[in-house]
Amino acid sequence: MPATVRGGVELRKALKNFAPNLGKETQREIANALKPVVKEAKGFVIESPLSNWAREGGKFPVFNASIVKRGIGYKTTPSKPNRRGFTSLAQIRNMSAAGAIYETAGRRAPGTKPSSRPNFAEAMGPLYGSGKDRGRLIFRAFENDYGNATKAVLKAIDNAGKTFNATVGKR
Amino acid sequence: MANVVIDIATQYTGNPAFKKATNDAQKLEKSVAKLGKQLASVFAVSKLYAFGKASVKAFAEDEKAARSLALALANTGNAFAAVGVEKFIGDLQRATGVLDDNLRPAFRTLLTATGDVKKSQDGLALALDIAAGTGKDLGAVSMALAKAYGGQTTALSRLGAGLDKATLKTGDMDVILGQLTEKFQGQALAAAEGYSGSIAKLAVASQNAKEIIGKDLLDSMRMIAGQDGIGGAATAMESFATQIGNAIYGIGVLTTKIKSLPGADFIGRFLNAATQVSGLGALSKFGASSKAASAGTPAQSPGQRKAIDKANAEAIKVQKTKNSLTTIDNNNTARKITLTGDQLALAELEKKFNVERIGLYAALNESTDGETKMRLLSLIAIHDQNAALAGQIKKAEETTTALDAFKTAIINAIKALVAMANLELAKLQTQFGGTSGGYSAFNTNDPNAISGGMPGAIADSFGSTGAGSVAGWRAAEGFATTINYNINAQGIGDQQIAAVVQGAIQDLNRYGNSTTYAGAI
Repeated sequence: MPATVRGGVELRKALKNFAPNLGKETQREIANALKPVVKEAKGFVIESPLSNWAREGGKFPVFNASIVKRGIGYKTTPSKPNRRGFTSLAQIRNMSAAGAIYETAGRRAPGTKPSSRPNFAEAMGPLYGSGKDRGRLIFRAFENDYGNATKAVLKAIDNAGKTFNATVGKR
Repeated sequence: MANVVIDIATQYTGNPAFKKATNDAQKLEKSVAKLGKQLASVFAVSKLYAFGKASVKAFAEDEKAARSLALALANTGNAFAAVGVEKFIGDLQRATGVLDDNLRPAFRTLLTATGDVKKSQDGLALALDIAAGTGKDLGAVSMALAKAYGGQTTALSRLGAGLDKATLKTGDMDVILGQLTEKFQGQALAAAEGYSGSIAKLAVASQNAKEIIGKDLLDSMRMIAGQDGIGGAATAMESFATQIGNAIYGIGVLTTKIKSLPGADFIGRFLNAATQVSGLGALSKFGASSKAASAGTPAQSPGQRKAIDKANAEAIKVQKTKNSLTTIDNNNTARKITLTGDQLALAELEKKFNVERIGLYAALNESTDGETKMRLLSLIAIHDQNAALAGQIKKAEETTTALDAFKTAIINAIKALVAMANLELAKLQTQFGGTSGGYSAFNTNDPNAISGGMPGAIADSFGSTGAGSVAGWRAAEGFATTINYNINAQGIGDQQIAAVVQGAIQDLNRYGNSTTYAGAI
């Protein structure tokens, strides 16, 4: 469950317009908070979770460890609002197709349609996390982080707001 | 494919679905409004078309009645009175609120019967009163009166005017008219007063407006048809009526006229606002100016027209030439400004790398003397052709000169003061008997007044044999000083001295000054 903040987007705009250096510094801090999680998630990528998945051919996305690793990253700019109207200020992402499959395969109960075949998911190993936020790469790394990244991101945003108000707000 | 992401921090920025719904609703609203406007315009065009047709019809009928009346006047030998009659009918129409469409036939009937304009006018006025009083149709009343003029009083008796048979039998129109006048005088005007009268007047104005617009429409149509005349008037009218622009011209006139009606200000304001916010205002103005122009120059010969066109073309040509010259002038000015700026920049750059100038500045930086600095600055100013700096240097030089003059004046003043002091000193020496300066005056008075110590040394230093050296001064510091007071009190006894001392003590006591020191008994 992501933390919800107020005025984050506005703060980012204000920083960009009135204190660009502080804005960049904030982005850097957020990135520094997310980097360890990303690094750890990349470490969970194995060469081939299934024996024949790395073989070319067919429509199913081929598992290529380097592509999957490249697809794991972070984003510190606000996203478009989702269907419920929430904009993400910081994200950890697993963008490759094969990586997403490896991340989420087996989330649904085995044997229920349109779930994947039980053997396919079970062969990849267990899912880490709870509820919908379960996975094998970024969710696993995030689980292992124990919320430190979230705390650091929120602290960076909070500090940026305070610094901005203390400097630019008093002009 | 849904992206696999972990949102670390999120913010609620609004539901896009709601935004989309709002946008869609706004778009729908705009579309509906647009459709409404289109429908309104379609209906407006339809109304305008109907109005145009009615206007043309009204004007045609009015013109027909006017022609008929004019013919009747001509036939009765009263053609000269045509204008006066038209004015009379117009005034009567405005005063009574009865349409000229009714007044003209009634007047014509009376004129045919009487053959006299004056009698017809009186008869028409009376007919209006009777019609207003009895509620009968003006045409019927005027016909009855006309018949009465011809000796047939039956119709007059049937009007319900209350004329007795004896009077009618006489056939004397003066008597009959007198009786009728007594009974119905002022009825028409009274009827024209109240609300019904106002409505009637409004109807009259509306009808007049229709007629005027109809006339303009027909004129416009004739104009469109060209020199060959209307030719196929019905078709031309139909096609013309569909042309919105020309019909709007009529609306503009209607607005103006309705505004002038009593109690119809709001209609006028509404239509005026409508014409102002749309293109109708501009079209109306254009139509009015066109009308004025066509009315003002009806009799131009082709030669005159050609001359006017030529003059206009010449004027346009001259204006165009002027404009092009102005443009060239402006361009040149802009180019000149740019070049001046560039030249200045170049000169500044040149200055920076001028060896002589660099040397002058170096000398200026190293010099400490003010005069040298000033001279160097002057050279720099001359080198740079810098008038501003030269002016500053000149001012500085002027300031220096003024300071010198001030210094000289002060020295002169001090010298004058010293001379004056010497003069005063000489006067004093003369007064005290001395002939020269120094201590001699005191010395001759009493050479033994001060002796020994520092005073002695000072006294010796002024003397011709004194030891006025440093060593002598230092030696004198070690000696005691003896001061002798010699009082020349010749002729003054003890008593006088005692009296003087006593008096002094008394004065001191009187003034409150103590003669004893603090703590003395």
